[in-house]
Amino acid sequence: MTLLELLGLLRKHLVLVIALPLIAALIALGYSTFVLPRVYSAETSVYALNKTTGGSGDAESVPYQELQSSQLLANDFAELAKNTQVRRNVADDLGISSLSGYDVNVTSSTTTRVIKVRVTGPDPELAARIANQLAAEVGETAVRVMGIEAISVVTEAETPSSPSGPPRKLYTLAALLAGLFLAVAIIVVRDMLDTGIHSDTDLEEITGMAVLGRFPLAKGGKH
Amino acid sequence: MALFRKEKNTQNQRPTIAIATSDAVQHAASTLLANIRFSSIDSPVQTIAFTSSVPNEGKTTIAFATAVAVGKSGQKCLVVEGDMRRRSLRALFNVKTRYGIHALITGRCSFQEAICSTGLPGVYFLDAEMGIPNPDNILASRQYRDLLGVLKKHFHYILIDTPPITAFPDAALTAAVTDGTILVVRENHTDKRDIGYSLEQLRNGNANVLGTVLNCQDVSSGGYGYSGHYYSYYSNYTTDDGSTPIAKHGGRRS
Repeated sequence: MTLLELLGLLRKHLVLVIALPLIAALIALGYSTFVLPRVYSAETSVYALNKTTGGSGDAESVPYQELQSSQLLANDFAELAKNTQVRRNVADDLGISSLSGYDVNVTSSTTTRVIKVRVTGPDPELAARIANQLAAEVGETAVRVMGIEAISVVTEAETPSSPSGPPRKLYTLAALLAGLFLAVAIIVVRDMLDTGIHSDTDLEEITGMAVLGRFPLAKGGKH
Repeated sequence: MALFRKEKNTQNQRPTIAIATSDAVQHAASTLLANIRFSSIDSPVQTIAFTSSVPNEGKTTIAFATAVAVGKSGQKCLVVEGDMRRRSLRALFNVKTRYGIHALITGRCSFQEAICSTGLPGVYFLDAEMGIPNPDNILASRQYRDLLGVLKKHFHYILIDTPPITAFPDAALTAAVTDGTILVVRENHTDKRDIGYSLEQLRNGNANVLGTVLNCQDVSSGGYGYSGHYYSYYSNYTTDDGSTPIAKHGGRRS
């Protein structure tokens, strides 16, 4: 099947090509708006002072290796945040049974040593408290085990006022694309399974012979 | 969106003169005739077998319409009933002859007695008798080949209507002794696989397939209309002498 044939085929079934993605997108939008629970994200950022360079104050000449190490530091941070001992301590400190339902995401930009800890969960206030407590707990552990001089908090996590999720736009777009893909797949598969002759080009293609005559559909009869 | 295939009328609609001589069909027939002429400038095609993969594709109507077109162009044309199992041309021409192709081959009558005029200018008709035993034997015989050779001297064109290829070997046998064969395909009716099988059969039989003819071309709709509705043909497609079809190939394979 050539691209041109595919386009022609899609144009023939334009209704399906348009309707199916739209329906899928609407379902995804409705589902993410009304069914999926809303989640809130609270973010805190911390700054890590490395012992080797700590206190030098020579900000202009931060060596490349150190820039790289900030990324490593973020990775270490993320790993620590996953640590069960750390998580249990955070839960104990906040008086909750566990951190389940709260998603922790640790990121850092490659050019700075600011590490962001983002906590996403159903309760905005608790998300903020977990973020702060987690940053403190991880920082404490990092200082203790990684030989980092200090972890200082740049911004405390605040209770988010509006939900951060579910990502309605993303889900809707994904459903739209999935619907489009499905529509094309249906049309192509059905065309492949279709064994009828629907035009003289069909006939020419199958037989590899010239169509010598074309008789019209007689009115009132089939012959 | 035709998600579900429509069931079509399963009745075999018999060809009628009105349709075959209508302007649209005649226009198509003269185009077909011109294409047949163009397709064989070096070795003129005089005897042409009209066949199809499955029943009800319009072989008879198209053979008839082409004959009328030949007659209109001022040439002489003989239509031969090559479907000895289910004759339909006699009803179309509305003639009753005493002798047919079997009597002619076996020398029981003269050409004048077997071949009749039809009332249409330049169109003559050679019927087949009822209850010819073993039609395939006759079609494969040297006498039949010789008969066509003789007829070629008297007519510009000899058009032979045949049974469907997937049902009987008759069509392939006829195609082997004619100058050219035309495969009639009905739109939204014939299965691609049946067409492939038919062409294979024709080529195996050493037929000179001139090309195809698309029947019932419906320009307005692009819907899906295939269904296994030619089963009914087999059920009433017994030979005149009551024997059953010899080849059962065809039909809708799933």
